Amino acid sequence: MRRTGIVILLILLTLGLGWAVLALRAARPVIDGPRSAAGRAPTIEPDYREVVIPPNIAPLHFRLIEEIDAWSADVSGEHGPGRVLHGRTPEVRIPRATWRDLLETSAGGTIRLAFSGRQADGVWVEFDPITLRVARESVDPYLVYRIIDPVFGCWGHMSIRQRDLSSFDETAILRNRTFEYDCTNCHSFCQRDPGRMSLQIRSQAIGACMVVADEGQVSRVYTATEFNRSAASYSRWHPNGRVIAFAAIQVMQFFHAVGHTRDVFDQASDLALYRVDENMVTTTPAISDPDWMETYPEWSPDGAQLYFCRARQKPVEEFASVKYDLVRIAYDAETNTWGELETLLAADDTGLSVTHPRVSPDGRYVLLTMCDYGNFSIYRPSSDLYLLDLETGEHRLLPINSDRADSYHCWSGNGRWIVFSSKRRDGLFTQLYLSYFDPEGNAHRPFILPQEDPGFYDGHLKVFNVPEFVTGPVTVSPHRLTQAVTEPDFRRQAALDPQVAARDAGTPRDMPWHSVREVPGHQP
Amino acid sequence: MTTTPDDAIRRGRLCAWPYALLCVAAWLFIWKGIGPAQLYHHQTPVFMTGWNYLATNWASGAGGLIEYAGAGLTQSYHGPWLGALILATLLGAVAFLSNRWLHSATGKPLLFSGFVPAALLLTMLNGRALPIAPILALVLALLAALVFGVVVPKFRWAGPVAMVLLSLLLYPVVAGPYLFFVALAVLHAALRRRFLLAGLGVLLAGVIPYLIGVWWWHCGVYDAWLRNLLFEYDLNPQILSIAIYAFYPLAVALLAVVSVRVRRRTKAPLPLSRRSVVVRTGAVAVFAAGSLLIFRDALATTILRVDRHAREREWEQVLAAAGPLHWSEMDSVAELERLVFLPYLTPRFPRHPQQGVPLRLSYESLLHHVNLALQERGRLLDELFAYPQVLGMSAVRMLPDNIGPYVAHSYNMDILLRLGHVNEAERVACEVLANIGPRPWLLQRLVIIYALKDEPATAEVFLTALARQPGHCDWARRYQRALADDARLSSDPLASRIRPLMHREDFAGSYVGVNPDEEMLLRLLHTNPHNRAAFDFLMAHYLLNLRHDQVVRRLPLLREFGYDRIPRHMEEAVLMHAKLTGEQPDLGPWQISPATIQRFQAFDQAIERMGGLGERDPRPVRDALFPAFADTYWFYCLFGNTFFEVDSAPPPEERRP
Repeated sequence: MRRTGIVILLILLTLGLGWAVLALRAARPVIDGPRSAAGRAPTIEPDYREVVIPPNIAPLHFRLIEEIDAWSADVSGEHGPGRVLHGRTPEVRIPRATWRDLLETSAGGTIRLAFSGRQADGVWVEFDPITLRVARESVDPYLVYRIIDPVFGCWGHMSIRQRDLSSFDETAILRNRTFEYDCTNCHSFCQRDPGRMSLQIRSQAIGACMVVADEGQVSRVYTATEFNRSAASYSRWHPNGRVIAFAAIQVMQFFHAVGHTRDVFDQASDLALYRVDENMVTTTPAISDPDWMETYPEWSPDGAQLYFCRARQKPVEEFASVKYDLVRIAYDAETNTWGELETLLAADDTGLSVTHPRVSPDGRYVLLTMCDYGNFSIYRPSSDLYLLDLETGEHRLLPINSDRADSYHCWSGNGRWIVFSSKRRDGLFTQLYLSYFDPEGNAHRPFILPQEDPGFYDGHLKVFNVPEFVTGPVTVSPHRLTQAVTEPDFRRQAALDPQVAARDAGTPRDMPWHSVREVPGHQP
Repeated sequence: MTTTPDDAIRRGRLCAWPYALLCVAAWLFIWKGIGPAQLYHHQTPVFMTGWNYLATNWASGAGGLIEYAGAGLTQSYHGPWLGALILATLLGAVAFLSNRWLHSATGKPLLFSGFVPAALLLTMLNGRALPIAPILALVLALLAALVFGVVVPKFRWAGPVAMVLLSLLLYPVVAGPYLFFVALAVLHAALRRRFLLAGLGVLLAGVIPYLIGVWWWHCGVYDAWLRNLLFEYDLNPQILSIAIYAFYPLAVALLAVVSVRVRRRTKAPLPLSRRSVVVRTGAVAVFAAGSLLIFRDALATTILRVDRHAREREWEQVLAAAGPLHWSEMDSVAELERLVFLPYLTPRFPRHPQQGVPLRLSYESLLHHVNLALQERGRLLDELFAYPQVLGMSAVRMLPDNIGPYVAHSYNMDILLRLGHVNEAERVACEVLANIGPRPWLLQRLVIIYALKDEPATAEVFLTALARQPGHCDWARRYQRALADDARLSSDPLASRIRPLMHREDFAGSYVGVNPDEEMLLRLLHTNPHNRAAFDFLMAHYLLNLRHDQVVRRLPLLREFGYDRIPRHMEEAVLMHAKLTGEQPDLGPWQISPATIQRFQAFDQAIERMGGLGERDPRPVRDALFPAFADTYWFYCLFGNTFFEVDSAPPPEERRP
């Protein structure tokens, strides 16, 4: 009886294996019959054609947008043997091991993908090959960004996430569902160090504060003082890791009846520094002038200069004429002393408004966004990325822009890669793009952050924003960060520098955006 | 060996026929009585096909998987008999498993007692807010408790092992109902004097959700311990859900008491005859019927029906469904009192799209739909006051959209689209998206909005998301083809009707994001002087806010909006204005109909006969005039502040543009 059972089992196994082998063979199309040449490369989505990619990027999966029912591709690197891939669906997914081999053997060269596709009439069309240039310089291994809904006034879920750029692995650093769906934003790292991070929290329960993770020490710092009623925004770590510059803004949102709906106006805006060791907020009139609105601080790589944007204070009715200059001021972090203001780009000259200055790691360039007015460039379709050469003082529009908002950006540690956010696909949802920045100062054709599912972005209803490169995975755990947000032991109230006069005492200001939880009548 | 039903009953075994009967009865009741279409409308959980979405649901935390399964099963509501069958089967499973567990825990038969929680669940379903997921989770928890009950007596060591294993299996799948399982397991252990085992259960109830939910999945406290319990789908004060969960310990206690009494009387087991089976079945049926009757809410059903037709833009059906709330259907003004005391669900932001998003039913939402339906049928200014209106209520926005329940925006979205204020409609639609996720009806509206904004690529993103939802992919594919043929959707009836009404000149919305109705409507009319909807709602706004002077001023504009006579409520406002100010307004080419004049005279004389209003309580006069004049502007004007037996504040002074 038992022997009969074993025999039956073996027969079934053999049949199953045979079926699997036959199915696999049937799935692999064979190029036979008539052939023709398309005379062009195939259309693919996302469009990775002719891009320059880092040698440590995840496989570029895409779909063939062609009228074909099967395809075959010769994939070859600069050196090493070629491989043949097949498929009957439009999706092209290159196996990870194959991709890794291709990248390793092609650094400084090209990867070539030569596709043939079978049309409905059985004719095989040979397309011109797609080439991908592989740079020698790697990109930082991790990218941190925030995922949110396209927020108009109220948000639901949001999370700060980190993506291993060499794979498709993505993990949460902090999810707002762990602290009642409050807002978390403006994450920032000291020199791309995953162990030194700050981010902002806006909460009905605990107020507005800045979570600072500093080499294992985590705290929740309340930076609103008698000088600045508003809490911190757009924070930036000084390279020494002991000072964080931030903007204290009073922001309001309004909506247009025609065209792009959302708009933002800062009714007040000053810069200040949070000195971590002294737990103290300080500032100087040059960066917190009541007649000017200062915002978007950024340190030079040596920490000797603080770059920021500023515009003259105006009433909201004149929102369309508010244009920000790019200025900088010398700062000595050791002595807490300031130099003189220097204007680098004047809105009067450019006719545009400067936002988000980011200095390249070698200190030579400032990558910035310019738009028609205001400082919330992601809401302005006119926003484009510009490059200011600090050696020559000249600025130019980068050829990586689109006709929609191209905004928030970040340099890689070696200065050879730029990541930026763009609405070029549809005008509403922001995605992240990477671009190679060569030693001659040219930015190359950008490509969208690759995803495992080639159709990932097609129906993805979330927004990626604030991309920041980091040198490794964030060391503080999500649980620890949540504790820092929710538990009283982590609370620290920053003191105001006695040298700074109180100016803005009163109840801390609120943000124009709110969580759905904050709607009256909602019980968590 | 044959077993008679009596034998089976005596031995605690359970016959199948009562369960089959229950399933059939529940199936018919759900199919024909409750209506799976109504259930779907009330909940609309998001369900997308594909591994990615399944993985997203799993990653959404403990309980995500059962919600995904529930959302998938909810799609069966599109075929009403199938949806009803699935629900009836689940109720049958609850009854069967409950009985089995009670028998296993107490060792005594308590025939058909499991029908009690099933009947209570059916009553909750009748409220139409209860999704499938919590019922499914309840079934799994009962099943786990039953397995635990079977394993515990076998070996001494089996109890702790089963408790831990079942916890690890059950909690990630169901979340909150895991606590229900633990409660049953602890009860079972305690009944067998296994107090250490019971203690272990209590410990696990704290530790497992913390470790898996909070620490590993990063869930909030609510989600970690309470997600998928019945409470959040029950009307305050949550009597039904409390009764369901409390039933099990109470039934055990009852059995214990009965058992002691029986033991005192006789040592023999209580004989159970066929008659007693019939009596018990009847008792459960009476209990179910009583429960359904007590918790029946005809008003909520009416509002839900109106809401469903309004979402489908079936305007005649909206007005037909709203019939019971027509003045002519009421016996007195006092009946309105019940309208303001609608029982609400505990309003809770639906944390995950796959969760149902029960509507917050209110009389204001019904009025909003009725007024929109009247406008769509060209009857707003003739029949606005045929339904009891709330004094000073916004004519356009049901609720100010920065306060109010999370679905308030969805009500405002359609009317803003109808008016041609597409950017505002976009804003509220995106607020709803952030609030409750990509519900199919919302995605459909977003597609229209972005096509109107000449952003077909954005519309395509929403269409792709919609195409992944079974039951809606046909609509999505149709619009994908239409969008590919014509990015402006010129042949789409809705889009082509709205496009000419859209704003042409930009203005920044008062810098606060929300325009008062009057300013918004005036701006819309400035952009398009033939925007009939904007005119109608502006007049309705003036009427609702007792500003008949403004109505009189706009009489010369009537012809521009296609009117060939003065609408009845405007006639009434003119007469009221003349009476109150003594001025005879210039009617131009128009005339007030003799019928309206005669009616006004009758109204005026009736008040005179009763000695006028003066400072006295207006309610006796109101009640006397109600049968003949309830549907007039005059009635609303003089008595509107008494309609809902609450002291209505006078209409707010609006900002003049």
